[in-house]
Amino acid sequence: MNKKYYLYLIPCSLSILLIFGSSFLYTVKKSLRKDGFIFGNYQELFTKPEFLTSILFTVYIAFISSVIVVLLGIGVSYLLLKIKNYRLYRNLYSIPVFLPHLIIVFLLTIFFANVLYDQWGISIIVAYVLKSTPFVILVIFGIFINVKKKYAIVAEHLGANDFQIFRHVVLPLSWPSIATSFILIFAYAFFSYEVPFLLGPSSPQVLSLLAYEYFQGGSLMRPYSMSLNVVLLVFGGILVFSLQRARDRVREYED
Amino acid sequence: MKISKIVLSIPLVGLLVALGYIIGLSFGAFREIDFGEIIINSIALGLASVFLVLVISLPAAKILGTYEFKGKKLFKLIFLLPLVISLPSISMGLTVVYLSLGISGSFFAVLSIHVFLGLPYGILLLEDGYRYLKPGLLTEAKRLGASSMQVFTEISLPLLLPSIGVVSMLVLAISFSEYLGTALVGSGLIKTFATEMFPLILNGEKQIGAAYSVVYLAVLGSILFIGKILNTKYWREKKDV
Repeated sequence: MNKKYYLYLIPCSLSILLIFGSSFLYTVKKSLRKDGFIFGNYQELFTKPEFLTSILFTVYIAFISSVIVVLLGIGVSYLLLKIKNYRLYRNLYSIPVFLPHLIIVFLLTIFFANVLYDQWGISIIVAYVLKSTPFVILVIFGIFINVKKKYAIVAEHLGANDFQIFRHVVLPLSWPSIATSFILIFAYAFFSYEVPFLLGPSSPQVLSLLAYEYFQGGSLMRPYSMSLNVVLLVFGGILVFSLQRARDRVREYED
Repeated sequence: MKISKIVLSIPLVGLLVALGYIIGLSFGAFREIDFGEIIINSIALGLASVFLVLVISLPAAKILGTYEFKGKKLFKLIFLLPLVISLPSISMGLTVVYLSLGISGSFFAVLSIHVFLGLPYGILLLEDGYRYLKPGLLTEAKRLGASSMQVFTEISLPLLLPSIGVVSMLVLAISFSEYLGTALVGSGLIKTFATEMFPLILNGEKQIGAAYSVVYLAVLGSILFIGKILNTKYWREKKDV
């Protein structure tokens, strides 16, 4: 590989690293204490009762939303596979991908005003599902149709029916892409701020909301916000690794 | 097969009805609102983000999609980062950093967040685009005496155009949707559709909210539509040649 090719990669990596790095370093610096015990803010944050409930609530919301989105994505893609002129429906389903999430939240507040803000965060989950499912359908269906085109004739010759082809050929080969979508939706639902703020209960709160509340809470609370943000950013870093692994598997399957 | 079609149509019809209701609700609210500044800001941010994302990610995507080299995994890891990182956390830190640099509340500050969010999509889709270009095609053109610029404008660009179209649409939609980053880093000074919608939803302003939603979707939708038309038109012309 020619050395000058690294030049091509610099603008992109620099833009991302400058924004991420400056924010991360500042956050880490402000999360540490100057007196005695430098990790004191973290220790106090971890023992706050609202922090623990907030973790559980956030994981619950993100996990349930992404499971529902992926299942719906698989289901709808399966239905799409059964239609001969799938192009029309696929194109129609690609339109809501571009729908801003605030519009979806607004529609929910208009039509379901009296059932929102529930303790279980169901309205938050509904909003995530509505926002993310069209995107996941496009991704999963794209993989499904490719796999089917490649292998369905072989399987058919071997005497497999439609459902068997789907269950034993299409689905297993699409697994890495499904995992990729799951991680993306999970991260989106885990870190998002607006949707839980507008649709969620006042308690428990998701972690992003908690971090922002501390952030606005003056100089006494801000160190907690910074500690919590460091935790969230590190968790994001872990998610990047799992996303990379899932994507590498996609590549292996394609080849 | 018929059942599939009916099941698949239900959510789409639901969406259509909901949008129709919003349009009906919005009548009469338009006179009270001046959309000028918001429309200009949103479009300027959106188009600038698209332009920057394309310019920054095209060269990187070319290298990633064409060559194997040392450190490729590390670069890919960096490029994926904005997809799964906690954006509220980034925005909070960045707000204070920009404040100390004296650029908080500027157009550039907000633009940097939008570009940050859009870059992974540029990289992922264009990398795939480059991978499906036949590798020999570009080197062969060079051997025949084409300059690097000619290779790019005459071969790569036309063949990558579908990917570029999708990237542009996604980045535009992201820029139009982003609320917290825009509001925080922009110190509330850069008003876009997203930053204006948020308080309207919070305060339950149904009629004004509906009017904003209609204009929001109309502006976003028409830019996407124009982009789509231009893209297909270009392809038709290329085919005729």
